[in-house]
Amino acid sequence: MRYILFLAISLLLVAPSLAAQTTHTVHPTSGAAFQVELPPLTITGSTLDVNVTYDPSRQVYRYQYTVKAPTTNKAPIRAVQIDVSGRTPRPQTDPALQENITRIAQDQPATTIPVGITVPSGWRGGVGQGGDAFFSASPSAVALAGSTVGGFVIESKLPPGVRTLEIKPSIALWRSVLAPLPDGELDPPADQRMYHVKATTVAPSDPDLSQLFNGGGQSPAEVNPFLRYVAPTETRTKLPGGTASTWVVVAFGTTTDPASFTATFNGIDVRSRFTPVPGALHAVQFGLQPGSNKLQLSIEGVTSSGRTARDTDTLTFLVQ
Amino acid sequence: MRSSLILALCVTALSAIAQEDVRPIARERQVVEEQQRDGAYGTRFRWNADGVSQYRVATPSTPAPTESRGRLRPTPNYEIVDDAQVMRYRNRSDYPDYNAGWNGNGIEVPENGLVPRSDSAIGIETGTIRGGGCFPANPDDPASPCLTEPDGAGGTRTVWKQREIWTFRMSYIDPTNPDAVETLVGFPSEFGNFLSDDSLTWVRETSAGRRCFTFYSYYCNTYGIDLDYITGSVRAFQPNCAHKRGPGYKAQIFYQYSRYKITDTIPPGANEWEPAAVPATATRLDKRGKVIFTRNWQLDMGEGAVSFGVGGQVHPKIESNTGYETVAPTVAAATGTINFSAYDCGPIPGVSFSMSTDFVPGSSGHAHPSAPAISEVATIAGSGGTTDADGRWSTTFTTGRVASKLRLTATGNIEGKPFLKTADLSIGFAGLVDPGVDGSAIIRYTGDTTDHPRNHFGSGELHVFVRKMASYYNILAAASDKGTVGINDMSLERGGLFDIDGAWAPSHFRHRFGTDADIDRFVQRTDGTFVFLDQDLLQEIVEDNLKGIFVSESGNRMHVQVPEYMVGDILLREAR
Repeated sequence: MRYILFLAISLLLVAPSLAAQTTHTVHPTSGAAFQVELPPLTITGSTLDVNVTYDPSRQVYRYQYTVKAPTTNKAPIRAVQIDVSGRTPRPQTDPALQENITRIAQDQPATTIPVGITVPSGWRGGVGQGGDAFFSASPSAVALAGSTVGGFVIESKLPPGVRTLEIKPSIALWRSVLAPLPDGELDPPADQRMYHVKATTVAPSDPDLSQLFNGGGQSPAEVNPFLRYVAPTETRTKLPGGTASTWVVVAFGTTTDPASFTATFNGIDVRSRFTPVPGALHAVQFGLQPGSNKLQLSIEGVTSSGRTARDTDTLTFLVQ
Repeated sequence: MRSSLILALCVTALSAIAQEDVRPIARERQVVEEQQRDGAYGTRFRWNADGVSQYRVATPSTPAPTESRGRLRPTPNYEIVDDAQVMRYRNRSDYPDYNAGWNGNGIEVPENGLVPRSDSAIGIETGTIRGGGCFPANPDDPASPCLTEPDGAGGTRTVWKQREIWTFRMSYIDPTNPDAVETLVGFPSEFGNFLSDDSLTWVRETSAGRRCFTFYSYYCNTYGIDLDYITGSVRAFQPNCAHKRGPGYKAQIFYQYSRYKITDTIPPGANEWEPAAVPATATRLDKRGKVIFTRNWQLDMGEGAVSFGVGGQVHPKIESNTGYETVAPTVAAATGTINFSAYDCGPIPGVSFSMSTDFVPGSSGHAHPSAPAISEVATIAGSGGTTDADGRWSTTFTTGRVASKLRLTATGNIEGKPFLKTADLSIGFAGLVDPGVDGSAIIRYTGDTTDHPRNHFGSGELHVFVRKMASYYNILAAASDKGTVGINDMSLERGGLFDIDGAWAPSHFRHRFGTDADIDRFVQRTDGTFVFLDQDLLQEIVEDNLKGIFVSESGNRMHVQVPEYMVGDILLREAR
């Protein structure tokens, strides 16, 4: 049976607002230097939605992503890159994980989380040298401003966690400006990285499950692990001013009873946003308001003595 | 006594080598017998007396020559030593090894000549030394006729030399001290650390009745041969700080002969040896007979007494705007020290010199004819000076942005002798390599020019990077776009400023230490034709597969860089 775990939108941590064109001095291989203006490649506001499901029969998490390019984008989206680096060495291929890409080499570190990657038509996927899963568009398949492109899937046996994300614009606009010019080198270089959107999303992670934060508070102590957390890592989390949302990744104990689970966020029942599965992890993104935000989670489980007990945790997010 | 020492030495040494040498000796004898028939004596047989003193032995004659033949005719004048010379040996390998057929590569020291203290050895070499002959009627006059005496049967018989001894001496008298005592410099022996004269003895009658040099008596006795001459000899000592610098050194060869065997009783009033030895005095060593060779020489300071140098290669600076905004917006200039010292068994203060600096044309990959301002390579604080009480002088330098080589020349005088010393100051990134593209089906080199003929030096990471890039390109590209990817400028041989136009001004901003490469816009297909490279695909490969950096340039040019974390690693390694 497959459980729909959540639907969320990635959180933009870095949102460069670089709307102006940039000026560069061209040093041609012969002749005098001259200046060229390059148009902005701003893609601020681009998002990557993620829908994570868990298939207990295969014990596989399936992360389905959708790229959304707002109409305000100045350039198409060419690529998305998600951190899937891990902690311990593992075989990098797993036939149980579905994918439709052609792997050409293994450049990633052996500690990278094994993943299966599926891409839509016109896109290429893989795992890069830095331990990042990537989706790359051919020129005809880029995500144009105002478009939505789905069909990106990552499968993994490792649980969800909050991971970094990079969305990259196409530089076709720049090429169209630079190609007719004489051969030369630009100063400063035409570095499109300044337009990359850096954010977080949910993707396979490699937490040390024996060291997860358990929320504390209950006695006896063996009750506390009924609810444990990849994020946050403390009961009171201070966040910088302007932070609009945060991820909560919760691990349900193996003896917990899903029917007993309750959840409120700032006093509002958010139980429906969770689908607890004993022994599985689950991620939910919450929008935050300035000041204090309280999330209260509670679930019953069976202790080693066979007694039923309840673990209740209150997590506070303080937007300063 | 020295003669007995040599005898003991011979016995000891020979017992060790006898097993190996029996057959060679027999073979050599056969060879020489053939040579004798042909009238050609050679020096094919050699014998090494000990680690330092060596004697080169011509194959002994057998059967023994008659008294009327050659050098054994009855005239007394046989003390002459051929080609005696003081020799200096700069290196251990210059010293003769007669057993190996190596006559050495010594340098003759003329009268009052200088010998550097840094030499490996200083010694006395000779050519042929002959033993035998008659005892002269007048021992003071070698040209006098042979001495005869009644034979007891009414006739007379010639009196022969029974023994001869040549003594080789190296001694020193401090010429600055009128009361100086003559000291023995001596030669080493393998039997101890003491230094002594070296001596060579010939006897007319060994225990087996052979004529022989005593170091060889085992062979003479065992094989029934006579040895009346050797063709060469050498002995030497190693100079050290105990030897005072300057004149006063003297090499000598003494000669004595005797009409008495060692077993004879010397008649009262008779001299055992002629000329008789002059005993040592309070200030002078003894004189062992007639001086047949003398050479004075001077010990000079070592050839390395003046040293001048800098450390190893140091990296150039990279000014701002390198393109490595995150990991290396700049690379600070390196600094170092230039050292000059005067030392010869102690510091030599007060040595003045001047230092000039010249650019070494063609160094570090710049083949254009003009030279940069020296300060573009390095700024040197001093231009010469005087050694301090420790015999030292130093100055500092700071690197510029051009990787290259500067030749530093120090000129001056040390104790009245002019010197000129050079040292190369090498500025550059040390680890850049160019493995070439031999036989590659995926990359080709482009962009070499007359000014910069070798433009593909880079870090190992960069070379791997571009090869992976080209390999993946050829896997993923459309069939019509496959071929060799042209790799244009990387870095120069030692990195640093890469001035495309040869004017020592920056143009390639990111080609300084082997992290970046330009990529040709064309792929060359297997049929030799060219087609535009699929830049979108290359960008994907560089950025997404390899996590590198892809930069578009004007005119459809492309530029790639290894991942920034690699840049950090490379910098840590190259800019230490």
